[in-house]
Amino acid sequence: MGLVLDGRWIFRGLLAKFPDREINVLTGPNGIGKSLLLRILSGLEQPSQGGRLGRFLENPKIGLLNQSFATWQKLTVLETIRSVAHLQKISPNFDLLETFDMTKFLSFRVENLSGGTLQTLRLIMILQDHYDLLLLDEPFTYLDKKRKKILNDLLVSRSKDETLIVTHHFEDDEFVNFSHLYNWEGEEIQDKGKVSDWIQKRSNVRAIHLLPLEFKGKWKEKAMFHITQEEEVICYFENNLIPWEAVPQLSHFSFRNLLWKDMNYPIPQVLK
Amino acid sequence: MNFEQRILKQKFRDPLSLFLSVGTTPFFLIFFHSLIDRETQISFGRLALGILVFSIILLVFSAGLLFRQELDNGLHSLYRLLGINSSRILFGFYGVSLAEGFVSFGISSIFVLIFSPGELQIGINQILGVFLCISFCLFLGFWIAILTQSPLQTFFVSSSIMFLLLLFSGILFPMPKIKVFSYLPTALVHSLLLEPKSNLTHLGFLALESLTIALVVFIHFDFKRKSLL
Repeated sequence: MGLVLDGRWIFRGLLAKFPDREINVLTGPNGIGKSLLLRILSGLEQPSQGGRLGRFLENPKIGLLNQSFATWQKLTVLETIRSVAHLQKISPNFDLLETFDMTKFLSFRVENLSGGTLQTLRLIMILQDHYDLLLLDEPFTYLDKKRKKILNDLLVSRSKDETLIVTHHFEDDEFVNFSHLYNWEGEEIQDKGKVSDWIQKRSNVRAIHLLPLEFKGKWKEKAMFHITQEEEVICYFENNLIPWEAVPQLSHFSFRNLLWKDMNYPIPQVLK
Repeated sequence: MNFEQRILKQKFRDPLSLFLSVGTTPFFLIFFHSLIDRETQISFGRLALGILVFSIILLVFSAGLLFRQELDNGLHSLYRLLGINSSRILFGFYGVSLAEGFVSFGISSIFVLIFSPGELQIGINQILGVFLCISFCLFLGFWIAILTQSPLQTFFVSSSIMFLLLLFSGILFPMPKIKVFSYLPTALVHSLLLEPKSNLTHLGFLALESLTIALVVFIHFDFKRKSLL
């Protein structure tokens, strides 16, 4: 599929395949179109080229958490949950409020909530219903570690019945149980396999190298290379996890200009 | 909590906006009544009817700001995925704001009846005229909210439109000698209140204007929703 916005292609010829009943994690640089892709998958945005949900259910029930941070500012948390439940034609899910330790905020007005608590409320609003396809745009933003863990466990349990697509910047270990990792670079979404494999490699790190990277003639901030005991390399750049074998394929990386500077340790064989 | 209950709660938790729409005109009536003496009592009666229409004009402002909050609530993706259509949202707000408009008009009317008995005669034509004029002002407020990009813009544009309606409707200031202004909904309802036996053409124009703006707002809002998150 492709999408034109303000007269220019945001992406085109994009083919994305996500297995159902799994948690599919989509990473990629800022501005590449991850949020727009979720909007297209939800049916809120029409693609300029191609279609969506090729072989998905005829009339899927879709949930979407976008990155908007407003809600009804004058209502309390409890009133917000009840109002949304009424729109969803379900009963409010008070168990979810307890799970996320939100019961003490029930009488708080939304306008007085902190960023993390507001994000939790928005998650509960969406997660209190059930879907065929659940699309979450950076759901872990602003959450503390405890709530990240709760959300992670919740999404894992829901993936038995629902297909989830989650966009995220790789920073923490909250995806420890997530299923598949996809990295979006250029016009391709690459399936990087099981997330658990990557996490395992990360826990097996022998050395971490911070290296400057040249990009289009300019020095960028340092990319981070994790070297595992088995001499495998995982690269992080601008908070995105890039599997080593994908690095040379990234058109915008001038890989041969990768310089080793101020290094006091031996360059691993694999990086030479 | 259903849609209308939720809007009502939002409305009641914004005391300044509530006072502006419900309390302003009684305040004006008490203020003006305390300033005048008995010799000018007749002119107060005519002024009071103008202030009654002003209570309707104020709805442009309060409806505009209330609807702007709704446009900015960041929940329109959720609405669309849940199949909540534009008419459900618009008429939810219309219903609540209409009730607010009648409460505001009713309270102001009581003050007019107390301060200037006999000046206000309300029959079926007047009630229908007030209903249509309130509807026009509400949809005008909604439209301003849709046309503008932020609450601040809504505030300034709706204030300006209110001022123009006040200026050109002949309710507090002399009406300009251009005939087209006498077809403003606020001028028409003022005529209905001043002359209880005025003909049904006034109501016809009011109905036409209210229906037209309601249709325009519905079409524009339905189109605009596609760009709302």
